[in-house]
Amino acid sequence: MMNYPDIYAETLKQDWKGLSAMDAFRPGLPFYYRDHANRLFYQLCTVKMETSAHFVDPSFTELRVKPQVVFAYLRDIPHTFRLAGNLGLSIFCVADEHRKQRLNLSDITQRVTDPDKVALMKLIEDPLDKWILSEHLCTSDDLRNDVINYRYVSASLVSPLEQVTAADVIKTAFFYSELLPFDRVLNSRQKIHLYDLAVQIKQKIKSYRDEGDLDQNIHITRNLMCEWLDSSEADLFFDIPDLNADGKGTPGNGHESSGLAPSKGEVLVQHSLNPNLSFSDVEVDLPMIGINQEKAHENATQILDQNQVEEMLKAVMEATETYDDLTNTLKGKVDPFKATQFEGEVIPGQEIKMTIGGTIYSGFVNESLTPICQDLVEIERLIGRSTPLVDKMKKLVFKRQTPSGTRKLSQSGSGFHKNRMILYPVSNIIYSKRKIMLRMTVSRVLVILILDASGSMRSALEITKIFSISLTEVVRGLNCEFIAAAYGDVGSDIKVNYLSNRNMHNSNHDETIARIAGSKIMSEQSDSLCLASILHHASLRHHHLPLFVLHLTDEGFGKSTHAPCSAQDEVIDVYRQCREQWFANAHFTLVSFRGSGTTGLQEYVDEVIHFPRVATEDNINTSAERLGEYVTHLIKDFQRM
Amino acid sequence: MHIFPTTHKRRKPLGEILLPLINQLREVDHWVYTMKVKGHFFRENMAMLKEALTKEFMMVDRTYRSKVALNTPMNLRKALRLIDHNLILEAKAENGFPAFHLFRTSGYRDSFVLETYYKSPHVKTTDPRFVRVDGHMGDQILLDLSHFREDVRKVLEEIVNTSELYEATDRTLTNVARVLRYHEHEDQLPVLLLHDYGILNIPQILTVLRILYGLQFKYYEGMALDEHTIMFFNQIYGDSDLFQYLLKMDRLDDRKRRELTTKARSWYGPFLEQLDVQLSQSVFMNKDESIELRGVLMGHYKRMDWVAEYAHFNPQVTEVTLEEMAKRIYEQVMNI
Repeated sequence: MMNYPDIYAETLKQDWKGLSAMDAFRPGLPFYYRDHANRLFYQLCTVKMETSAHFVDPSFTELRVKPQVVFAYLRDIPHTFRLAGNLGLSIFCVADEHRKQRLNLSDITQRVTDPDKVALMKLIEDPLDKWILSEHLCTSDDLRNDVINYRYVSASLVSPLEQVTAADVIKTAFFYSELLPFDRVLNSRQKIHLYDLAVQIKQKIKSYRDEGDLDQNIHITRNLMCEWLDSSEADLFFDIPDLNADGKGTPGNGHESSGLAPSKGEVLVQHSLNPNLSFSDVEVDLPMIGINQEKAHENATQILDQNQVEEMLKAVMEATETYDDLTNTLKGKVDPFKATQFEGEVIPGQEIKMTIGGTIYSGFVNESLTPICQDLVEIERLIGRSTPLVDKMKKLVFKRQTPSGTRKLSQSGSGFHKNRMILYPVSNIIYSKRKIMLRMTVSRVLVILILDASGSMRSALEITKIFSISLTEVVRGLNCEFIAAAYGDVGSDIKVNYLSNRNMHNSNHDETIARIAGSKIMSEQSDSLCLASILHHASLRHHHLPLFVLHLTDEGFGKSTHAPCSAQDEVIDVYRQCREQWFANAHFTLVSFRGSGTTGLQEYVDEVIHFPRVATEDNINTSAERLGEYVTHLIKDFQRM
Repeated sequence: MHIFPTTHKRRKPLGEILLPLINQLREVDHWVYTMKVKGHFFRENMAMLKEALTKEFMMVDRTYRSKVALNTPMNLRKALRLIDHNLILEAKAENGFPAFHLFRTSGYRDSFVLETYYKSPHVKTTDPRFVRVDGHMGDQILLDLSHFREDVRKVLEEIVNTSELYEATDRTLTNVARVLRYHEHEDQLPVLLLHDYGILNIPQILTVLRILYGLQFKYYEGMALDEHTIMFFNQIYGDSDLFQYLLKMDRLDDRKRRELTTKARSWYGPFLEQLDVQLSQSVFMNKDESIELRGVLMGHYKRMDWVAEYAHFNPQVTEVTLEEMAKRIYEQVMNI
């Protein structure tokens, strides 16, 4: 008999290959794998969607489309291709939603009297519009591969044998002409004719296309379509020979004999069982597949005998338990270039990797900007309480200094002299004497204030806010980048709430104070993961600056990983990683609320300041002196650099 | 210990007990065939399909008797569970028509398909090596070994008694699955398709891919192949290189196996990179527009016969590098 190792040993590819966005929605994975992979997918998808939206509309602010995940539910598609499908469709739908201009051929069709031509233009309009957008997206370096791969994957949803409507044939000609040997497998002369026509239009537009300008391309396309309608080529299309009696037309290359062509019944079933198609669709579309109108009408009437079909479908649905009829619906309905009802809810969060004890661990941190406190009384009260502290600190910090930084005159904005406005086009003396002074903001240091907002800090919340507001007031006079963030867990979510906008250079300090006043206590905390998140993301933008970190905590750390070490060791490892990998010059200050004189991190930080948990007038004054000394020390340090 | 406690006590074979159900499924598929393939989409046929789906029939076991119908899947599933806990009836709607797959799995953990009793002829499967099942814990992908069952049974007929044949077949397939599950993966499908349709003419490519997958796991530690498993890989499975490799691994000590595993991890990346180069070669599916082979694979995985028929490959690109790499990896594995 064979001997085997433990049943819980590694049995999955992901155990040795690692997880990626490709594993999102993969069946057979444990929940914790799938959840992680889903988050990776949504992270990637959001980035791609934002890139896409920005590409078509640089002024976009918020995504109006959710990630498309329909390919996760199509059973036939191999897992390796699902990611390309979902990403590509999401990118396309976002671009389609956010773009400013669409192809509109209605005014062109108005001047055409021939109803056949009008019908053809209506059929061509939508696929052509989408093809132009798709080609436009291909000009972006970041999106080209995704869009092309999506075109490939979506071709698997299209079958030349199931091309039942003229719109299908046209769409296929625009998007998949290089992929499918349509001229050899299409099974009616009319289809082939239509297909060739669409390919011709596509080639012509391609030769005139302007690289990189969507609006220009739409304009060119409109002009070309006008020209084409006026030319004699358009008339040729409508001169089609009569179809054979069996309704199939002349075969492309004899594939009907090999059994590849769809039977009449199959085509009709496609129509009758597709809930999207109404009876009128059948009437209109069937002639395009080469079945004569009267026969189609007769057959369709027989098929669409509602009672009979409904009874049969009811029995099928009961037997297959597909009341929502998901798979069947998808099979019949998926339009490769249209948003579907299968949308994913973005799981917020970004993956953070950190090294603990030489091993890489990862987790997801949900980052957000703390809402501004709407309670003005509370903000004023906190500012009032922090005023003595701020005054003392300012005296220490700005003892022999004036706020540094060169200044320049504003060339715009308010402060116009009303009497001189007449000179506006020719002179700049229209500005009044009270000109706005703008500071030249070249930051020389990065200060990060990190607040531990876990439940154990509840009693110290007041003093933490006072301290943070004071520090915010003081650093506004310095040439420094200031980032403030509070962290904690809400349920299973690990959250980092930024108190200042980390993406803005010198964010508004008053706004930061309002956000600090609005910060709240959370339940648990995953210290190392949140610290890693804050520091790593700061390093992406400011890695060249000297770093000063003020970590406000009671040192009741919580574990973030399964590493065989304490939570405190995890925090120490993150400090170490920050010094070694993320910043060339990092200075850590621990502002401890643990109680005076005791700390476990003495050796690993540069400075320790002890604060009492409860804020009274006395201890605030005492603490202010120490804090003032520290900030003075900080300034001296960075002046030396 | 009996692996399949409910089967060995049964007087009748499971196939006979399930016969009423199988007959009913056949009848349904007959009407589906009449309408879907022949195109006889008439009211009478629709009514017959409806009747076949709603008709009640008896399921009888040694201690159990129940009246069920296909349109009451809850009752049907309950009846099947009482007959054998591992029986699964998958019912799906394909293009508006029902499609069924009745099979038996090995159990809950490390599950795979042991025996298929019925499969609707119009069910299309992209990857015949796996079956996708809706489960309480989400969808599961099961390794399907049922198509080897008949061959295994024929070989075992000469070795074991008739009374033990059923269980011996199950046991052999179980042991085989415990090896194959580490070597077969659904992500190998693109290479499998290219290999099967003769687009990638590298004989050892699948074997090397299977070996590289298998070597990433630690299952070799303490491995010892039994005679039936060896017989399966030698006579039935049809991959003689993999058979030689398994024999080799069976004889190696644990230290050398670990050494090989470490080396395999360094081979895997370059091998995939080379495969990627191969997939980037241009192919002409039409007269004048060329695309990458990767694109053809993505767009046509369901109709690879077309690709084999219509695709014209760029003659400048050869498969020599990938072939050499596959050979070199195999030789290094065998010469350790």
